[in-house]
Amino acid sequence: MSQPAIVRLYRLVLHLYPRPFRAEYGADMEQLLLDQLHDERAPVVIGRLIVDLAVTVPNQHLEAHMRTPNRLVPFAYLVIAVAGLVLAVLGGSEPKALVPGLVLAVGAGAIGLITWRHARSVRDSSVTAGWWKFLLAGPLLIIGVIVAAGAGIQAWFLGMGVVLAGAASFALGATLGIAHLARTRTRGATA
Amino acid sequence: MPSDRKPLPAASLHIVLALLGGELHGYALMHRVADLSDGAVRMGPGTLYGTLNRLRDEGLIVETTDRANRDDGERRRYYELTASGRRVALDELSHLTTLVERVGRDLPGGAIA
Repeated sequence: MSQPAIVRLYRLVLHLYPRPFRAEYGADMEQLLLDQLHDERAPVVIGRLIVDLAVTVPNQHLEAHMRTPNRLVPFAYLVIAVAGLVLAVLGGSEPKALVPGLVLAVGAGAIGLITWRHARSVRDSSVTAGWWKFLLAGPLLIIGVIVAAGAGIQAWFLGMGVVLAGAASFALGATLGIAHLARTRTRGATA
Repeated sequence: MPSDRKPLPAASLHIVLALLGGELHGYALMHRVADLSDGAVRMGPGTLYGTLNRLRDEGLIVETTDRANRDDGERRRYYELTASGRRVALDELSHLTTLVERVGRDLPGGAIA
């Protein structure tokens, strides 16, 4: 096989690497192969290249996977936490429903937060960047309850739960907002 | 005093040691590693650039391509150690030196010739 044919084939094989890695280093890798073919015998270079591909292609995919945020697990815990909250609210004063519901909501919520934190990509932006969503969601939930009550829907325990969740969301949003502001200012000062 | 840092993997170790002499482009770096290891370590493109990518993410090397006017025909990308990369490389070198000295001292018949 001629040198240009080997390089053309390698250019195709480079598509086995994750796209960002190929975009960053593909041309350099091709140039390196060309240099190696210029200096050494083709069978030696090809033999080494096959081993190199067999080791580094899966490795790069694994690394790329580890850098990609996985939101599925935290989302599943969020659903369980909401189900627990609904159980607690609907169960009302019945301890058989209230206690397991609250335990489920708090436990799954905490695990969900931890897994979400771990699932973030290393290149992800700040955790506090979404502060405004919590801040906005709080009043919206409370307004929703007021509108529902005005429309004659009488589900007091559910309403109480939603009002509490709204207040908690607002408080969380305000806290994250302050943290975000402080972080942004610190970065600005050090830049 | 023992360092908290885990020892570098073999490919990373060879690259940071090769870069102790100053900035190099990919192919020169590959040659330098081969020279340092008496030809025992010959990296393929995937190993070389995968390792460079990791070292760059860890802040141990930086690309210096645009820092100076290059007179080589093709546009090659140059890399050099950061201050922290240099510290890590020297630390690794010191560990290796100590290891070789101790093994040599404890060998029956004295130090390695």
